[in-house]
Amino acid sequence: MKLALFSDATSAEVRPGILTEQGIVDASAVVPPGPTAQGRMETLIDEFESVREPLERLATTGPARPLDEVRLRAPLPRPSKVMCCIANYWEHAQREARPLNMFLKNPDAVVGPGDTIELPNFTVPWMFMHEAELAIVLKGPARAVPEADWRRAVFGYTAMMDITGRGEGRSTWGRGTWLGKSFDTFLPLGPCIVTADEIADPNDLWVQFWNDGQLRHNYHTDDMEHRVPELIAFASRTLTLRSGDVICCGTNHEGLGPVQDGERLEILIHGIGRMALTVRDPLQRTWERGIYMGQDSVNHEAVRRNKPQEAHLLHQAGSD
Amino acid sequence: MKLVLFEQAGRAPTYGVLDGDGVRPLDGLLEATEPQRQLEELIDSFVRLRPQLDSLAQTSSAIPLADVRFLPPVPRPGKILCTTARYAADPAAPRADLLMTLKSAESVIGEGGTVRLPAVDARWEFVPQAGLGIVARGPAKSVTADGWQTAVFGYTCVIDVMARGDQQFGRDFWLAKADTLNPLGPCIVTADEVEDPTRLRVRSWQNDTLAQEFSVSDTNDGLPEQVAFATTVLTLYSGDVLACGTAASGQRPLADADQVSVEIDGIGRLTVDIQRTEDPGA
Repeated sequence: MKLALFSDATSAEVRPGILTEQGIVDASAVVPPGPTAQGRMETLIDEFESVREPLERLATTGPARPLDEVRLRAPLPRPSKVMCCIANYWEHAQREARPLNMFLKNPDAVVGPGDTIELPNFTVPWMFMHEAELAIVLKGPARAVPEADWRRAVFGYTAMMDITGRGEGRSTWGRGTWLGKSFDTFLPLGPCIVTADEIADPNDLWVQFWNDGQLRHNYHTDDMEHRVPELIAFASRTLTLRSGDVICCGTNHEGLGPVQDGERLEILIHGIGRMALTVRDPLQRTWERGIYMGQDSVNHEAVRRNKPQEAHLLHQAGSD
Repeated sequence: MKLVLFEQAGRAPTYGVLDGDGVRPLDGLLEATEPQRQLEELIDSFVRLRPQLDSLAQTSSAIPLADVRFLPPVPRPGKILCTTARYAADPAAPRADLLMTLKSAESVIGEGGTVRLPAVDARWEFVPQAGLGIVARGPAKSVTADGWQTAVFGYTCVIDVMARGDQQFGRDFWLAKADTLNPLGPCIVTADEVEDPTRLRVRSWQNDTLAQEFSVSDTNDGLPEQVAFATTVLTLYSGDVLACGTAASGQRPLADADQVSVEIDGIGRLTVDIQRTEDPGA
């Protein structure tokens, strides 16, 4: 089932809905109330089994509104925490696995489909980049979850753009603190939550990302260095995971690129959904359009160009 | 005014005003039911509620301190931002850029609580970093250093427990986000009651031995600069906590059964116990 939040022109109220082939079905009558839209989604996660049947009935019988009549919102507008993997994709390189590590991203930075990513009026980061990621929607409370039990802490999946301010090259600004990822609006999330039963294996998903129609990220989650069960075990060893929290699985950096004023960013995870946002930069900064090809780029063409001595360590993309 | 969140036998967690006689509960004053939401309502409605809060001393009886247990006065902050500001640093030491890292509500414990150190291998240790915590009033974005106090509701004491060791890949900052690693309290002192917050003196003890002592004026990155910096990056909301850094020295590794206290003049003293656990770390 695909769960979403939406509003329309008649009211600012954010309502829960079910995304179907025909459009969105208002599920307000079935989903228990909550103090906020986030709180309502958390209650829905906690009580999902008791409302699953009426929701399924509604999805087939309820009136569906076409998506161009409504505005989809981030399906989790304000998670209590958003935990993000650092790196975490092999990127077709032959090397040792890097240690798994995570950081917290500002949970107030969430925006949703159709929203605007605002670059900050702050010039210390030299560039702002996109990353495209699979996001795990958690069910808690969950602490010290063994890898084998990982499904117990997973409610579903969504898509996420990890917008990032860079210090030098592609290093995140704010060395060690990952602060360059926590500017307001730098956490696009959506368009919906796909419940876990619809995704047989989260490490078998295809992630694509376009900037103004130009394909940038294009990878499979099969390439993850530390896979979803390990991420759940790792995060829950340190922190108690709560319903409606999010773990972002990291990105394959081969398709990194700058984001700048006026651009339209679009992410698609096959089996989850598609979401687009636009970028606004009050300072109208410009960078060369296209995939980032700097000295520390892991894009294959960039590696061959910048570090020919390392080119033999690259697998052919898609061959493994 | 000193605000506390407390618990008493048979009573749900309740906000109250702390004075010389004890705690005067804010019964029926707030619409929200969940404590963190109550605090945010208290912050956002403080001007309107103030006369009623001030008259509590006449209209209510105080519960003696012996009958209550303090809870963290900011029980589930939306964000905890720990700045890297350093006080009383060696003037010859290279100056580092001001930055900040996020902790979550899972780290929060209060007065008398227990910091549960995750089991980590010998390369790692945990150190307590005593500091001043700003309880934010928001939404506050792009606040200038001159106007920093517009983003402040009040002050509390904070112990930002930090992990040290194998710093490769920044694992230190991740481990420091563990459950229970950010004690705060014992109360929130509202901003109007602190004459000059930029000169507050912070002291901390580890098992009765003085560990850190500094004035928050003794830094390159004062409170106004920290608030301005934080709100350059993001929006502070009511009930967020900005932990304003610590002294460059005096951070000693924590051991099982240690007791750590931090005291800030005019705010109070926060004491917590340290327990090494067998909980696997990251």
